[in-house]
Amino acid sequence: MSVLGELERRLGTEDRGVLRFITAGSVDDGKSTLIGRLLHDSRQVLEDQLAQVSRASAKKGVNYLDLSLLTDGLEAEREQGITIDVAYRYFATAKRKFIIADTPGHEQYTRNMVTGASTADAAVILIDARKGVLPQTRRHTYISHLLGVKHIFVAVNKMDLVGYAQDVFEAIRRDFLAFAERLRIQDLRFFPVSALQGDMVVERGAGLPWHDGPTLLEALEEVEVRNEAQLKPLRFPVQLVIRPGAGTDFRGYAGRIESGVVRVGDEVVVLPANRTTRVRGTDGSTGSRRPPSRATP
Amino acid sequence: MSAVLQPEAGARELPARSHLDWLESEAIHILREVAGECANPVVFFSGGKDSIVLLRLAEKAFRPGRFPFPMLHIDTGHNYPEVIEFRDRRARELGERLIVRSVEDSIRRGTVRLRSETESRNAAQAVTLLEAIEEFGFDACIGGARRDEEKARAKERIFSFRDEFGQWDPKNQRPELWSLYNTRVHKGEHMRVFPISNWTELDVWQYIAREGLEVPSIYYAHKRKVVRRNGLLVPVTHLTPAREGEVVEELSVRFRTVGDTSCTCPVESTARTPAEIIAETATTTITERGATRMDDQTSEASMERRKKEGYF
Repeated sequence: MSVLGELERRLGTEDRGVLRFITAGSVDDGKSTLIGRLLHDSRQVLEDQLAQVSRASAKKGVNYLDLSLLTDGLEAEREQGITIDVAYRYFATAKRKFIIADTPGHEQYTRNMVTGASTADAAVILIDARKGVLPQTRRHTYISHLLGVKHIFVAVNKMDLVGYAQDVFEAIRRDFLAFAERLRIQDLRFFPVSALQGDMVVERGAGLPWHDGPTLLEALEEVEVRNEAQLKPLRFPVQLVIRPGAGTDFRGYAGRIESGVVRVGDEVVVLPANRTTRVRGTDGSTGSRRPPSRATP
Repeated sequence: MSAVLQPEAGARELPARSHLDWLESEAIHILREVAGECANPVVFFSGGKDSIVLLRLAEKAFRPGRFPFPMLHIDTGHNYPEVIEFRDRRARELGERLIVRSVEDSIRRGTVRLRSETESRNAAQAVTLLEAIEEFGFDACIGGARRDEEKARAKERIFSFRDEFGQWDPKNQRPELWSLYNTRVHKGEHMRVFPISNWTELDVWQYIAREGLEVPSIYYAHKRKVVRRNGLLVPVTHLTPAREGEVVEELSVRFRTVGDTSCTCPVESTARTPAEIIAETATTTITERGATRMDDQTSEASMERRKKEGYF
């Protein structure tokens, strides 16, 4: 790819903001490998990181590039070959910036998975095609939904190990829906993938011609996080009061707008005092301004 | 509640929020949370690009008021003079208090022992830092570390707990849900707080460009004498002289990260503006620390070990 094309790809032609997602699911379902694949195929793994991974892979005695070594950042994790705590990784496509939280699959570290899930817009729940839906699959789906994750993408991984068989994928989809239907998940989708071989993650690959939907990354690029909160009534928790003191009677209430829009002249109710007042001015991060201040997605 | 969408705004849809706006908003919220929740916070300011971004975010969070915390720099005594000059000037411009504590003082006290005068003082900073935290009784230290820098940092919470010995226990981190941050510490313990955890090197430069922020001159391309050693360009200084047999070259270079002279290396570059650096950063094939740090190459876990001992 030309330098200019590469530049455009990395810097983007549109800026759809940030999408945060987690990878979750049971131990050994391939979460870290999937992230490695996403980073590798979107060319976000740099040469020195690859060199480090290939050194570490050799040391581990495996004859392929163990992409999970990219995210397992703690000594104890590398020694035991497991993920203990959530790791954050960053990548960007031409469409948006992504923040991935790679969460641990072991039951005893579920509390750390919760930390990762709480700030996610989307969850990618991995399932090993050979094992199907496991207790930890259900647990992570419930928790993600409970914490308010609206987009849940089920990636049936390791399709290469079941001969890319469509009926295996369909059977797992039915099993999953059997328990997930009553959760009423807003956006629930299924993807057959092979993170190790690279099928249907970033590229379509050759193994899954029967899947006519988007790849996992294409779907993540299109997730709409347009701020629904903006359409709701104003909620503005005050974090602190700014009073420069001497020589000025400025008094500002600083905080982040959780929902709605605020404009000069709006009538607002102050809680818990339950007093009504009007907004005299708004100071945004670029100084005083007239356009409405609004909720953060 | 009466502040609902007015018809004229509903007709004209508000534009999508850019990723920089998103990052900025998150960071400002975190800074104000520290101000609201912690009794005696401090912000690290080294004169480096990440801490320059932190100070701009603090301006946005607290102006026209004063910063609710002083700035602290741990000076190794081996910093580039351009950076120290910039540090002092920026502090004056802001009109905020700058505290400097130096590794030299720890050496005099005997709490830091170096094998030689020219040994890297990078790791020794942790000792001086913990001494400063104890001296002032800081309960929260705001730093500009980013998760994309290094894989141990990728694991750390935004509000990261330190025990009475200043140590990080990566296997026992606190839960951190939504944007609710647990700031409770006992006497002697403290928090490290990282408002730009979610920023990448590229985000930082895009923000510097957008905000028109000044950075020390050595971040831009300049001529410098270097030698090639272990795949790095080692600057030729009195601390890091050329070794026998090494060829000294004068190249056009810039620093991607500025730290202790003894362990920070520049990269070849001709970028003289933030826009040119953004273009280079977007197409680089080597990570920020991989290209520049002698101290991270010692082992797979060197950062994690330093952090456990109280490092930034």
